[in-house]
Amino acid sequence: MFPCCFRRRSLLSSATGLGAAAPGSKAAAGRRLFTSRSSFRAAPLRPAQPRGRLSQLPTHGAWSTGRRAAGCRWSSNQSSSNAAISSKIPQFPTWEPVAESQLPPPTKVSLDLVDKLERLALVDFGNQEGVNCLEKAIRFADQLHVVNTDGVEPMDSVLEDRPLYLREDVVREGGCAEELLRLSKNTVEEYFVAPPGNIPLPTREERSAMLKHADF
Amino acid sequence: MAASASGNSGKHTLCTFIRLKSVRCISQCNTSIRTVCTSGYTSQLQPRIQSKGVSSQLRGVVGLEIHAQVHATSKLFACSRVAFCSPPNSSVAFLDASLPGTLPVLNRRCVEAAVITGLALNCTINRKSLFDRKHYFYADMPAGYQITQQRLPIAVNGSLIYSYLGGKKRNQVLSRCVRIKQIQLEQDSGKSLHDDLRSQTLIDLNRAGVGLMELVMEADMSCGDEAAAAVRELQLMLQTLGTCQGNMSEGQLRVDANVSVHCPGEPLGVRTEVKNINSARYVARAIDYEIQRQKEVLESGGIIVNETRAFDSKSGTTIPMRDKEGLQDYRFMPEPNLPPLFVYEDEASVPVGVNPTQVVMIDRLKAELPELPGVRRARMVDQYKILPEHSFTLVNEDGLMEYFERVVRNTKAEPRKVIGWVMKELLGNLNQQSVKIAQRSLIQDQLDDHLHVFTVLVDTDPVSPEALADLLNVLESGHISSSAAKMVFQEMWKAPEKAVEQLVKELDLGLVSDREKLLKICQNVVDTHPEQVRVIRTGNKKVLNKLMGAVQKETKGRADPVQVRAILEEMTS
Repeated sequence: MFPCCFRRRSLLSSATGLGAAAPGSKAAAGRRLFTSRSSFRAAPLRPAQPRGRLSQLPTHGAWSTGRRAAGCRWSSNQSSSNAAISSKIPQFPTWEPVAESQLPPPTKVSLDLVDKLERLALVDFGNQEGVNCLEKAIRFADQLHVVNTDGVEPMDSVLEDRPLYLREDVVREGGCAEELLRLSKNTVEEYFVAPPGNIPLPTREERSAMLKHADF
Repeated sequence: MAASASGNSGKHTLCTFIRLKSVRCISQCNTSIRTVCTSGYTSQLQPRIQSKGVSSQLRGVVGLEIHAQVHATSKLFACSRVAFCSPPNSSVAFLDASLPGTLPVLNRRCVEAAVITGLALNCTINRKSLFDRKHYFYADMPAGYQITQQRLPIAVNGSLIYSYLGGKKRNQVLSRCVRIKQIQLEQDSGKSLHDDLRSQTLIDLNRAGVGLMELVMEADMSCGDEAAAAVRELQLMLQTLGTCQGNMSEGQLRVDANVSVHCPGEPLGVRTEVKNINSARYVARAIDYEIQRQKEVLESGGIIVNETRAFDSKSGTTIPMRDKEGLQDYRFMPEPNLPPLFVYEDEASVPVGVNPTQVVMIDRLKAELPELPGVRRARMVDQYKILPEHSFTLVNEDGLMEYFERVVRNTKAEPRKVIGWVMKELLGNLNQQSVKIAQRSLIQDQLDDHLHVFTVLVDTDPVSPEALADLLNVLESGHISSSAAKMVFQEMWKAPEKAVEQLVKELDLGLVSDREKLLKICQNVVDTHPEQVRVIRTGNKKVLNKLMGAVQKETKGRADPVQVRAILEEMTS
């Protein structure tokens, strides 16, 4: 996705220099690069010194609605060795971290909630680190509370400007029972086979017994 | 209902609960005071002092959630066929099987059906409605979510006016109104057949993805009879509109009842949901049983748990369902693949450049609404001056109204007389016939709910409307007496090809109005019944009927009753 992989690596290595570099881009309401950071394969998924760590960086005041700002701005300081290749991607992160004081109190994910989520969404938190990861993710999303949305209708679909297509009431599909049944390894006389009712998740006690044997 | 409840409160032991025939007995009660457990609730029995006066005032509160399958050729979001009883998994599109890469495409017919139903139920149609996902796991819903309309449904705030037979003798027609909270479009799930022997469930996805209209009614009803009447009325209305075939035994109309009890004036009690009601008959039974059960629980000091219960038609009881434990959190989220649905008021409100096939116009659909049952009944009563109860039967039975109108057209007799004949003689025979059919093929359930049963029978009805009209004309003209006419009718039923006059001649049922003959017969009767004559002469006129009966027996029911009565009165005065 990103052509300048080598530049990214150099950016990572100069992570400690961020504190100094960031004020330079105060004027720039930069585009967030958070999503790209985690999906980028060449760089390690979790940098040795993760950026955006709120407790570590000095406060820089309110962070405006940079999310929807179009385009990204150049950071004038290019400490990259390959400055000759021009790119629209800023050389240094251009966001401004949000002050802890502006955020709502941190959400604690209780064990009951973990149980409920595991039952509803069938995700496995695994161990305490998984729960911590979730809490950090919630904290991260709490930054959205800084944005003032008074009088703004929430958008529930990016297709809100498109008309919903209505099709005619004709039959065009179906009659492919064999094809569908081939997908399941267990069928009985053209029926799919499932266990009787939902298999309940093991209780917390059973789960913690399982976890004790797992890595911790 | 209240009377029986107060009677029960007198029995303070819990032995009365043993009469609830239920297989599942959850013995979780570990209080030492009361040791008998009921199947029905898992809460602990709390010894509480309940005054008998309070408990007898408990009233049931019933709200219905009705799922009506849209009568369309294809499903709601996929192009596969809607078919009942086809080979398993034979009409399943890739979207119904939730294969990756499929997207929902809305069926226009389903939108129109929802709007038509909303208009018939006096709802406000939302110009813009949204689709949501309702997440829960079950094997017959492979996607793990159901596309429904929870935030902004297509129609809200309507009402259904229905009538039910109430009063002490259940012959008073009482009119009631139940509010409709909302009508929404949603997907149906597949069908699961439980195979307990091999401990597995067989999944058939033919039904998955079929469009459903969910009608949510407010809790305005108070007993099973009202709910059953409302369901019947809705069934009739949907069939008239053509948006749903309303066949409960085929699963085209499914009713779930939310039942709770409370004292009037106090806040509503905890409600339970009753599912698995497969026929209009069972609606009343299931709800009445549940109300009674809740009353008994409260009177004995227990508490009601918010749970889902299944109705077992064999025992007539409700049993807690296994899989629906705890409060479900459906994690509603907007459906990302579907933009908002817009329906337009009229031609003028449609934006320029929109394809006409993409437009659903409310006023056009309103103009095409057929005559609703309520309106039809009112018209019958108005036009033909028949009783309201009779108009119910006429409109209820498919084909009967047309039959009645044809007879009225061809006969000189008054509509009120015609309706009497149709109700008693025709329906009497049809009922007998249907009972015989039911006994033969054991489809009692289907015949009870299938509103079209009489169309079938009326089609094969031996007595055509014209023949009945003939008979009534003959009756009117005075050639035969009414009892003779009834006999002729029975003969016509058995031998439809014979004309009325022919039958009258064959059976020699012509009215005997020859005064001479009548005088002779009456004299004969008076002579052979001296005792009765004396009683009449002393003043008891009712015994005259006995003499009349004797005369009729002599003449085999052919004597003109008016003349006979006059002659007898003369003779016995």
